[in-house]
Amino acid sequence: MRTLFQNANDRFQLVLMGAVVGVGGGLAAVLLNRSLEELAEFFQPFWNRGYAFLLPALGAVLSTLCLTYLLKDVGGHGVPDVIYSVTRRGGLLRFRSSFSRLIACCLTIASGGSAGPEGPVVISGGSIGSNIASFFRLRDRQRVLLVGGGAAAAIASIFNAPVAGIAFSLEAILGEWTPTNLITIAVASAVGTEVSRLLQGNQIPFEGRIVGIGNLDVLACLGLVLFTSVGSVCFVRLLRGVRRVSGARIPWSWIRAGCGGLLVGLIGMVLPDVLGEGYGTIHRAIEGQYPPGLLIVGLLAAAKIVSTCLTIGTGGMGGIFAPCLVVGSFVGLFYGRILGVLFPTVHWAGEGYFALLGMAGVLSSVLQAPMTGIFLITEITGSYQVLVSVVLVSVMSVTLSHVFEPFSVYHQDLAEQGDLLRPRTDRRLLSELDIFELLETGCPRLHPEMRLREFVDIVREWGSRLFPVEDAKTGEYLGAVRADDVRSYLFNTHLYDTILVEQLIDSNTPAVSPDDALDEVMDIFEARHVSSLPVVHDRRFLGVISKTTILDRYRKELIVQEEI
Amino acid sequence: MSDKLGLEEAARLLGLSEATVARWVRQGRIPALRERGRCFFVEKHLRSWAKKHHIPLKEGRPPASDPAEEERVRLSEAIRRGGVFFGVKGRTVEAVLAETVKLVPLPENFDKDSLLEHLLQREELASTGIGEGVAIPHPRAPLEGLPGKAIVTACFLEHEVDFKAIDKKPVFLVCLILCATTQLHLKILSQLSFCLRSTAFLSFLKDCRSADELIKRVEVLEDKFQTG
Repeated sequence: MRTLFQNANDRFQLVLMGAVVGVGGGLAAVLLNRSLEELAEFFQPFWNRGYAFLLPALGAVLSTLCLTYLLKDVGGHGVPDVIYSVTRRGGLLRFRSSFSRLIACCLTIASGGSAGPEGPVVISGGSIGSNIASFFRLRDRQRVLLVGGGAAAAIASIFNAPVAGIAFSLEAILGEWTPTNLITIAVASAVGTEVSRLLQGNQIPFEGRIVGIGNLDVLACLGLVLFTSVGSVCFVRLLRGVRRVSGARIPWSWIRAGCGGLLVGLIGMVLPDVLGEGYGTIHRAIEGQYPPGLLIVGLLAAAKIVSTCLTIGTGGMGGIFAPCLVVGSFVGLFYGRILGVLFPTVHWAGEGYFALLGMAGVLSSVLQAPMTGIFLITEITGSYQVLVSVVLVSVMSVTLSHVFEPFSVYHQDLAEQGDLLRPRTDRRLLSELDIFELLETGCPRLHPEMRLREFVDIVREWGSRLFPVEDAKTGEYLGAVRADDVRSYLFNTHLYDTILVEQLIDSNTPAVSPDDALDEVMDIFEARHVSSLPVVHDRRFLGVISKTTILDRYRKELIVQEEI
Repeated sequence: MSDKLGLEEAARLLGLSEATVARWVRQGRIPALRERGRCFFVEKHLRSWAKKHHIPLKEGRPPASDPAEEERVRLSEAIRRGGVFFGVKGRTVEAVLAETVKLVPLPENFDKDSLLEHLLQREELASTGIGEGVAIPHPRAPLEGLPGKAIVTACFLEHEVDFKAIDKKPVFLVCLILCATTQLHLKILSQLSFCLRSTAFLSFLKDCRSADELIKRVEVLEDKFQTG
């Protein structure tokens, strides 16, 4: 069956695999959802006790210990790991990643940690996709798509929102909208949603709650953009700050997570709404069940931001997706109430409307993924009435926050390390090419004692422009001579027997190592104004790398990446 | 307000042709201003744009501006530093070299014995007799402790000596070349060889009796070398 499958048309193959991965991703999401509910119920009685503020700390410590020692997986809040694997490792993910994060995240969230289940479920789905691809011996290109498919299925299944899953996977993980990408991911996403509907029923969380949106409401939503952008920029910066400070101060990961958890627990004693993944909170925000008062919702938004940063930034396992929605809903409520105070005579569409838009705005700008925000909000309300306002708020929030934070929360670390290599960019292409592939071998070797006369004969015979000089006895690389440099002596027959090759060695030509990254090699080319460089490993000359070859391969590399 | 750059300057800075930069302006890929139908670039913006796109800038002078440096390397100056000597004694290569080394003006702490050793080693590897009765002994690699500027000591020999030169002619003039770097050495060498290509200069050398005249003749040829 494997052979039959391997002979099938590429896209059909991907559609089939996408469906299989969709089932896996969907199941992972359902499993996580169920176990979260169970565990939350298990923890419920403890919340009335005096020591309840210790629960998040306990959960965070357990989750970190569990992840590092029991499951032996490396931490990270999920999505960046998937993106790194997709850009740098051909989508390879460890099999144990498919469940390790789920367990760790259950412990963190159910004990009150302020984080979302989406990050872990994305890495789960991705890892399922990756391992299925490896099992069927698919190539990197297809494996990457299946990782994207698994992630899409997981998101789609957890929110019952198939298009949001597709958008998330294309925007955040793959970074490229192409027909082949879309086909695979769409199938996986649809199947994942269907799995969740079969097992959990087809509920649209906020169906029919939002009615009576007037033109004034649509206009007013533009003001919300300011609030969502400020909120999301604060969120992203605080998260980065907490991660840096805690990482620098506390070297032991589990103590770090415990400290974060403790602080979250203390905040949670005053404002219990910030605890957990916060779906219940969102529900209440949209249904308008929050007690009136402008400051309380503003405070809640700030507290949710702080507690999420304390949970995730200190190494607690969980995603940022759900907290974004909670923060967004509070920001929206806050803005809605400000409007109510400023224009008491106008009949506004209701707090739920602004809460929804706030969610879209904050989510879109934290993730720098407008389509994800737009589709998610449209799908969880099940109505197209909000579409225009959601599009406006999402797109404008992304634009505004992009000025201050050009990279999404998932990409900023990778961008800092220089590992954010989006498809078909220069750095990505260069990172995929290897110096060994570009090596021109078979240059004649020179010896330091050679006379210019012998060298001129060699230059006459060979087309190369760079000649390595090696020690005659040991074969050690000593330097390189450029054919261009002899030009000034060519007509000087007097010197043919006086100048030795060792005197012609070009000190301006550094040797590169085969392990060097190609973009660094390109920088050397530019800085030294040379067109070829010797490649040397362990004092042995391996070959020459030249700009001409790089251009030629670079072009071919681009050509094979084209989709037909 | 930072400096404005014209199309030409911007193209030079980016290391591109003007046509490319003009096309990028037309396609809106590069931040440009338009003033009375001409386009300008604000240098600060252009630099940050280039940095963002990993485009290396060509700063300062292009690499072809080496002549200024070459101007400083003059054979005549090197001979002036090294000195011209007449009637240098010796009937073998070793004797001549030993005599020459004694004459070279070098700092007092410089190890002249090791210099001689290096010169003889080089002679063993291949003769430095470059024909027409001239030899240019020099060490294989630049020796440590040499002054930064090139030194050429010209020694007219009392007796012609067989240096096993390629053209088998006996040597009457030894030009000891000492340079701190190989690049400098090659520059001096090519100037010297340029001079030796002139038959007029060669016949002058055979009857040369004055250091000043030699340096003057070298200067004339040098100017030709620089311009041509």
